Amino acid sequence: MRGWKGEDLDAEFVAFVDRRARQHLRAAALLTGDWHTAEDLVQTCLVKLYRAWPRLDPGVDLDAYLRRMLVNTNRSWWRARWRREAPVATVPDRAGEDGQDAHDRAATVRQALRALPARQRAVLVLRFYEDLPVAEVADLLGCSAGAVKTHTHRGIRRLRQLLAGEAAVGSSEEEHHGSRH
Amino acid sequence: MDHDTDREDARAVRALLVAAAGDDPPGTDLLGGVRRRVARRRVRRRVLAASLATLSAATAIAVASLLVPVGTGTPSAQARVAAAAGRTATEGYRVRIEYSSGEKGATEAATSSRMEAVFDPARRTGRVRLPGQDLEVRFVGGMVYRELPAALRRDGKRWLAQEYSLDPGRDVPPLAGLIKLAWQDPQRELARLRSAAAVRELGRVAGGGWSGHRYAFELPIGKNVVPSRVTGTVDVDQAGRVRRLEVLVHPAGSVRVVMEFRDYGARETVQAPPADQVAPATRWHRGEGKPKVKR
Repeated sequence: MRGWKGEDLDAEFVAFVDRRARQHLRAAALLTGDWHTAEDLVQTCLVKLYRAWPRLDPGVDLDAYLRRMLVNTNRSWWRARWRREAPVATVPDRAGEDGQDAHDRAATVRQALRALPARQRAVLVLRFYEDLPVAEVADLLGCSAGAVKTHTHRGIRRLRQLLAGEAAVGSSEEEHHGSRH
Repeated sequence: MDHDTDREDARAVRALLVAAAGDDPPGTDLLGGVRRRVARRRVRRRVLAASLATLSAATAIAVASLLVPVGTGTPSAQARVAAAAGRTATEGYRVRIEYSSGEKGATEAATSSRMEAVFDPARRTGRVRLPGQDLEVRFVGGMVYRELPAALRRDGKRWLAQEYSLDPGRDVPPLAGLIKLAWQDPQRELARLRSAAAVRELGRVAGGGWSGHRYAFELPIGKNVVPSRVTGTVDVDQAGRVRRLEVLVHPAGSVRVVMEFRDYGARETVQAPPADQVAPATRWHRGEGKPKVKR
C-alpha cells in the first residue's frame, strides 16, 4: 500500500506526475481537442488518482490507471455538454502555406479530431497515439474488438475528409476500399 | 468486409496525432494545479461533518473499485521520442556537440568541430562555445547573438544579433538549417526531433548513470531540395529525456551531428553582449557596417 501524510503531496506521486503527466496531457489534448480542457481533464484525474493513491497497490500500472480515468472522465464530460455544443462539421480553411506554422497545423488537426464522434476520436488516439492493441482499446471503451476496428476505419476516413488538402493522411484507403464507395 | 487499417494509414494517422499534440504550451503547471485542488478539497473537508467525510470515502472506494486498470500500453515509439524532445527542452542542461562534414571533392576538405553548450529553457538563455576558436553563440530571450571571427570585426562590433525562433524552418530551409546551423543550436534540433517520422525502437542502451532506449528515426526535410535523406538515432533515458542525439545527412557521411546531453538542471548565467558591440545581422548581411573592399 502507498501512503501519504501531512500537507504536501506524496513524493512518489509528485515524481509520477513530474515524469508522466505531460505525456498524458498530450493524449488528453487529442481527446478533448484543446489544451485548456486537456489541462483541466488531466488535473481532475490526477486529483482522483491522488485520492485513490493510499489504496493503490505498488504493482498497479499507474499509466494505465490514469489513462482509464482520462477516457472515462472525458466521456462523462462529453455526455454532459453534447447538447450545448455541436461538433463542427468542417475545418476552417488553413492560412496560406507560407504562414502555416507547426502550431496552426497542430490546431487544425485537433479541430478535425474534435469534429469526429467521440468514440471514433478516442479509438484513434488510443490506437495510434497511445499505441494500445485493439483488445485493450475495446476493454477501455467497453465495446467489442470489431467495433474498435470499425471506428478506426470510419475515423480515418472522416479525418481524411476533414483534412482534405493537408495531404497528411495516406491515400491508400481508396485503393483498398474503393469498391465499397 | 475487412476493416483492418493498413500500415500506411496507421503511420499517417500516427504522424498526424504526434503533430497535433506537439504544440503543448510551455509552462503548464500540472502539479501546481493538482496542489491547489487538493488544498481546496482539504479545506472543504475540514468544514464538512464527519458523517459526510465517511460518505465521501465510501464513494471514493466505490469509484476506485470501478476503475481497476488493465493492460500495460505505452505510447508509440514516435510519441515517446516526441515527448522526450519536448521534455528535454524544458530543463536546463549541458550538451557536447560534435559536428563533422565529409570531403566534397577537391574544393572543400572534411571538417570536424567540437562544441560545448549550456541551455536554460526556463530562462530562455543558452551559450555555445567553440573551444580553440574563441567564438560564442549566445541565446538571450528572443535574440541570438553570434560572435564574429576576429578578422570580420569592425567598428567595435563583435556580435551579430538576430531575432530567434525555435521553428526549425523559419529562417532557412530545413536541410540547409541542419547542415549550417545544427552545431550551434541544440534547441532547434530538439524541436526538429519532435517531427521525427518512421521512429522505431532499437533496444536498450545505457550511459554514465542512466539507462534507457535507443530509437532510430527519419527527419522530414521538405521538398525542392537536392536529393538527400536525414536519419538519426536518439537515446532516451528512464526519465524520458534525450541523452544522445545523432543526426546523419545522406549521402552517407556528408554531415554528422552528435549531441550528448548531461547535467540536467544545470544553470549558468548568460547575458546579452554589451549593446555597443552588437550589430543587427540583417543590416550587416546587407553590407551596412561591412568593411569597404578597395579594388
